[in-house]
Amino acid sequence: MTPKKITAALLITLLAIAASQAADIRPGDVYRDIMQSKTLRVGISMDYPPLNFNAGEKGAEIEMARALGEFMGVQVRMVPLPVERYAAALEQREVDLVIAGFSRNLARARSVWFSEPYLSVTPAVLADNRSIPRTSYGSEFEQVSISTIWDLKRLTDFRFAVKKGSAYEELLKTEFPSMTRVPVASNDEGMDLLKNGAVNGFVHDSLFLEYLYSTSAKLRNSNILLAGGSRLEKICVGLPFGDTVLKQQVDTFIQEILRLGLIEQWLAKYSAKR
Amino acid sequence: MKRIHLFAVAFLVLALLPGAGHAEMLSTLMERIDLSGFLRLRSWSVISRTHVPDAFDTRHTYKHINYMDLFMRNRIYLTVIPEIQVRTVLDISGNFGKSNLAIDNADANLIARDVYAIIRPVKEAEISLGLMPFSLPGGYILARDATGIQYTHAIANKKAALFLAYIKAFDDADDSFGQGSDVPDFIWDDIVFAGSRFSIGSVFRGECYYIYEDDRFTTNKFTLDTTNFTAGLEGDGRKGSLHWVGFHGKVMTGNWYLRFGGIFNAGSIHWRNALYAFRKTNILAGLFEFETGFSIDDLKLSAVAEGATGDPNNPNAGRSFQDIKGAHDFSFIAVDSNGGLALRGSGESCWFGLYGCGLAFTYTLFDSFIMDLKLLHFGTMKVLYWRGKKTTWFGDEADLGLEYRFRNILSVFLNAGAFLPQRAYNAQDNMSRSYYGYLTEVHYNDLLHDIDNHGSRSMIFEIMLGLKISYD
Repeated sequence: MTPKKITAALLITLLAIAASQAADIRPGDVYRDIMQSKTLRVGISMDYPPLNFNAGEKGAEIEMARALGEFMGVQVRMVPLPVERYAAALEQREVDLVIAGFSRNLARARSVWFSEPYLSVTPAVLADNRSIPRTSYGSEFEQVSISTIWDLKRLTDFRFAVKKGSAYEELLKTEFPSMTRVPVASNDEGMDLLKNGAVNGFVHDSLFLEYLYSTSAKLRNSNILLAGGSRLEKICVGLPFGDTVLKQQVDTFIQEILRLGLIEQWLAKYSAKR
Repeated sequence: MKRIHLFAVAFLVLALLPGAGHAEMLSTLMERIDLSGFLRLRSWSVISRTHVPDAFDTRHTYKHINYMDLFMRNRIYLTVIPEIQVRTVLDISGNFGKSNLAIDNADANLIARDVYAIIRPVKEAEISLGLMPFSLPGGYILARDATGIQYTHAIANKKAALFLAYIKAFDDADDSFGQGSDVPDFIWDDIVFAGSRFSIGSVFRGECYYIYEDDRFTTNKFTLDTTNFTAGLEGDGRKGSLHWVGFHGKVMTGNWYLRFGGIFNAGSIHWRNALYAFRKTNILAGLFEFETGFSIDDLKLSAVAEGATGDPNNPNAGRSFQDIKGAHDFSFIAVDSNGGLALRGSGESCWFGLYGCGLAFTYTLFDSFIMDLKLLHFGTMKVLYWRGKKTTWFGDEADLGLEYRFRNILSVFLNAGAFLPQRAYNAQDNMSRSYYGYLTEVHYNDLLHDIDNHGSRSMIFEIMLGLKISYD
């Protein structure tokens, strides 16, 4: 191959790459497709009470997706996805957006966009009572209390169950490197390990664990909920990288549902349901 | 733009800038403050006709004590920079009693319980410094409102930590110190505390430690009150040199659980007798704790035991040795530090030692209530005599707890306990009364009641209804 041909081939390759990138980031593409097909494909979680029960049967985020469809004037089709598929499904245009308790972080933001946050949660642990050292003595005296996941740093060991691919798996790797992590495929698997004593605690966000804790006296009997702390996780709508029109519309929608208090209403409606 | 307009714009900008700056600073500060705490209200009713020190004198018929307590805990943690945190714990507490027999009648307080800083100069190290309670893992409070410094260093990839602490505890410090009284020679206790926490695998966690306490709050200074024609010596008249060694372990595997521990306590104290002369008493005592249990679905079943030898050689040892602890909710009546009655011997009456053992069940009722049931037997470590018979049987207790929780916020709970005293309870009660140095009319009547009524082994009841609202 002559140098000219090589140069031409390189140029063609670069142009092709540039064209494909341009196709990904062209503003309004996804939005136009949605409006033309009159269908909004929303990626949702498999099960994430109180945001989503049984892959879209009901829940705060299901109400939110329907309200978004109503705002855009299109039908909504729910597409249940496992957590590790959220970003990939957006990149491969299998869904138009993701409403699935999707928390914003830098690793994810390389490939997908995030809307304005509509919820703030904290990392939380549902921990076996017996694994937490007692810090209160009598009715008055307490030493440094253990009330958040960060307080567990004072222990010499703790076995965490955590969902594979979740933001909390990364958090445990960086913040609790010396402690044991047991990755699980589903929430049920994590809760089973906790119940059987195979782990000391199951890590998830405060919203989900508070829901479980508040709806089951059995869990309250044997476990303690460690939630709070200064580090917040921002729950956002996941969006395809580059569609500024869709992002603008979704951001406006979120600002309005926050202003109208609809998120609180939906959460209150589903927080007590089993 | 005219010059006057420029001045007007500049004035407005200058006037607004500091306000905006303060608001931003305040917002940043608020993000670094972590607030948590709880409000707790409890209502107690205790019923007895058996003598209970500081609560019931002796009667032929049952008497009631009804009172309420209020407690609000506020934890304020301020992260100054990621490596430095300032923590305060402020309590508002009050007891409101209907009877003058109520424990701590109608008293209300605002208490700065803890004020300390945590400094993490490097990842593996933590220094805590300030006013805080220092307690042993077994639940024995070494120094309540004490100032001190503790250094903790993680080793072996954080699987173990070494700690070293120096504590200055102020025992009954004279509030007129330096104002109208001579300065005591020694006004505090020095405590040095060193130990280690460690894990073996992910199944075993342990902690061992050594403590040296130099109890120096005493003085032999002679004082003369010319107004009231009285003379005496300052201070609480006690000094001591005490050593403590402890080991605590916890094994957790699957649904099975084992917790055990022991504290050994040796040394000597000097106590001042009625003639203001110091007498030396040696201390040799110990404490143990044990719990093993397993859970099957909703039921948790445990066998529990705790005990302390006391120091049978000399009641004047006071609290210089390990007492069976009430801090772990062991029971509602016999061994308790959560309000209501606490029959647990303390001070001059705990030297005979006490142990408790029994079974504990926890069950979830109707997927709504958490139910706790405890059946406990208590005995003294020293053989006592009651009406010519040897005995160690202190009594038996049954406790029932029911709790309903709404999320992590609201908890409503009902606790009920019944204690049936046995001979050793009557015997120790009588002994504690024999320390009266003189007989007033009241004491004389008490002794008469002893003859009439201290043989009584009537059941003692306690019921508590409470509510707790937590926030964070």
